[in-house]
Amino acid sequence: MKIAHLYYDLANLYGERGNVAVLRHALEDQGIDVTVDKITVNDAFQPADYDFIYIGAMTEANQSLVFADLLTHQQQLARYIMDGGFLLATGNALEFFGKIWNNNGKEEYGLRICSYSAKKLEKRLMAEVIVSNDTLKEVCGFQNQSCGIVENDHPWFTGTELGMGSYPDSNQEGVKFNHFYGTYVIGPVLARNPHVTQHLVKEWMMSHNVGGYTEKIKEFDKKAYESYKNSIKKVD
Amino acid sequence: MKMLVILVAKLIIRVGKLVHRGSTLPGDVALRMDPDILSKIEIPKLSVAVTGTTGKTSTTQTIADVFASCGYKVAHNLSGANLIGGVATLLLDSVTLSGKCKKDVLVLEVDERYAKLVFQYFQPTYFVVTNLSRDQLARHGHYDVVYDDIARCITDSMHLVLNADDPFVCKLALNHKGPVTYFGIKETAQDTAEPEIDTLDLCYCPKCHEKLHFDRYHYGNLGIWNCPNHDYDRPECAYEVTGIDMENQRFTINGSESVAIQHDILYNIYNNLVVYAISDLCRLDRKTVLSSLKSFNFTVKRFDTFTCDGRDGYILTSKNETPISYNQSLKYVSLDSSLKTIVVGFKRVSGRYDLMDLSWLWDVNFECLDADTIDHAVCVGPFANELAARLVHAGIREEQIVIEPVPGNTLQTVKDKTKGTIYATVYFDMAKELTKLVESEKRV
Repeated sequence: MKIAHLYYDLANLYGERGNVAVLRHALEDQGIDVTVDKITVNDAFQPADYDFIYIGAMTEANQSLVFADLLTHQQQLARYIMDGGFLLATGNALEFFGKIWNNNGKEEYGLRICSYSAKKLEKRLMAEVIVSNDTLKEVCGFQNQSCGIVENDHPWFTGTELGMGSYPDSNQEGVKFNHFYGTYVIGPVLARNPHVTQHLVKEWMMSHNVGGYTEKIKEFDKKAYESYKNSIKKVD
Repeated sequence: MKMLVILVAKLIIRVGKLVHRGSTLPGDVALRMDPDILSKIEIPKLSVAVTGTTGKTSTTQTIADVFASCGYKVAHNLSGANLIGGVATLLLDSVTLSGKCKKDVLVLEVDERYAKLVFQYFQPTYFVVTNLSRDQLARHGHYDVVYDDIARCITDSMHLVLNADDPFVCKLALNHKGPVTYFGIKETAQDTAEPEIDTLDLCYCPKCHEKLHFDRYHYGNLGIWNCPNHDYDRPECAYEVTGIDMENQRFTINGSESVAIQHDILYNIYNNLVVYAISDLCRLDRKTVLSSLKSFNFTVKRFDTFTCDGRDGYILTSKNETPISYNQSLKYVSLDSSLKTIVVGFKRVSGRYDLMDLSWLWDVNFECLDADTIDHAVCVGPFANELAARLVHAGIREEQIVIEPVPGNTLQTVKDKTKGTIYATVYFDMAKELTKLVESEKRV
């Protein structure tokens, strides 16, 4: 199994490297051999060479550098996602994959793989988050974003218990389209939500006909998740 | 009106001193009475302002102390009072009722985000930026927001004093038409070829967008760097550390000047280097400066030692949400290859706000700890489980983890369950708690 950690040096705003680390540990726990390639702008990159692609959150200035490079991979990335390839985009990395995104104040075409658009917010949004969908309950984290997404036909989460959602008061969070997973929940979202990590591992194994999945959540990860969830819910 | 505002501020300052509090209140009240009061009073002709992610407080305090040793009357804001109210209090305290200045020099620690407010009223003669990196993201948004706020308040009248080893800081001089002086460190024994974490807060040339090349990293974002096209290279230093003798706690500037540091911790070199640079730029008496640097004992303690049941202990105050600070502490711990127990923890994520984002734990390089030299890792406080999970992913074995939810039990737990030298890399609130526990132990 090969993971591409895209723009590892530009898109690691809030400890995002944690997502790659825990994904790797969870896959290894299932007995899968994992290699991680760190890839950045101007590097040779073929999405089809990888089994999982990850891009994290970044500053708005770095978004310009990253997008210019991403654009050179547009067709291959579109094919990768259409063919059911796994890609996780956290924080503002998700903005690139829709129709329109905001390049430092200017609206520009995105990669146009998905149908949503990113829209600049009047004020930077920072909040603690708890979101859920039918299979993943109470995904916890933190949002910190200058844009939101609109016209989102494929939300990943449809219940927002805490936080503002992907767009203020939208009550939806993130995007799931085939195996493209996007969320504005920033930082080490997988480290913080071991059930989400397990879900991705299980989905990946199923779609790649790798058998033998059993849920393996470490005790400390479970306790850390519960403790963090209770602390942002203000439960003692 | 002006006199009345100054009088009110001075009265509140006096009352505050009696009850030992209120370093920002007098200024806040004065600003509410007259938002323009600071532009109506006299500011010392010579002023030094210091900002940056780390090192502000120690550096500012030492600069103030050095000026005082050289016979200057110094106005200086004590640690923590670096927001607008604190600065206003200081300035109002340093003038007469008619607004005339009683001091020779103003030495100011300024919060990164508040410089733009403070510099509305006056521009410092010298503006020092110690370093800039990811810090309190839940408050700032991110480091570019902080950078923009600092860049916006710089005027060409200011003499910038910048850390040449930090490419992000050097960017502040790109459009500056006033004087700039750089300081830096040539090399340290702890230098590495790779950064502690993959990300630097500025790792691409701001001009040609090529990835910057680093010959070596001192720590964090700091090191010897250049742009592959030479569009943006590490500038030449007027004050450069050319030799470090940690054992004797001294370092050499420009090949000849020998300067003392407190403890064998790297960041203290930057602090004293800045102090030396400022004192040289202000033509203070060299001999007095050097002997003061030798004799100072910081009242701001980020490093403390103790013994407990015959075991050596260190308290390394490590700022939550500020990986550059935390990583320095961990690097110090990792240099000791003998058996040790580490203590990590905090009561609150932030002393400033209630948002509880722990993302920064993954920008802290716990991976530098070698599990084989660790007896136990004691995770303390309400976030003990979150810390434990992070440590386990960094390679500490589950059986090495001890969870202690009650901060007050830390020392007892360490004594009962662990062995080896004790390294507590903890936030301010836990450092205080531990110091208290160690003190009460001594009294028994």
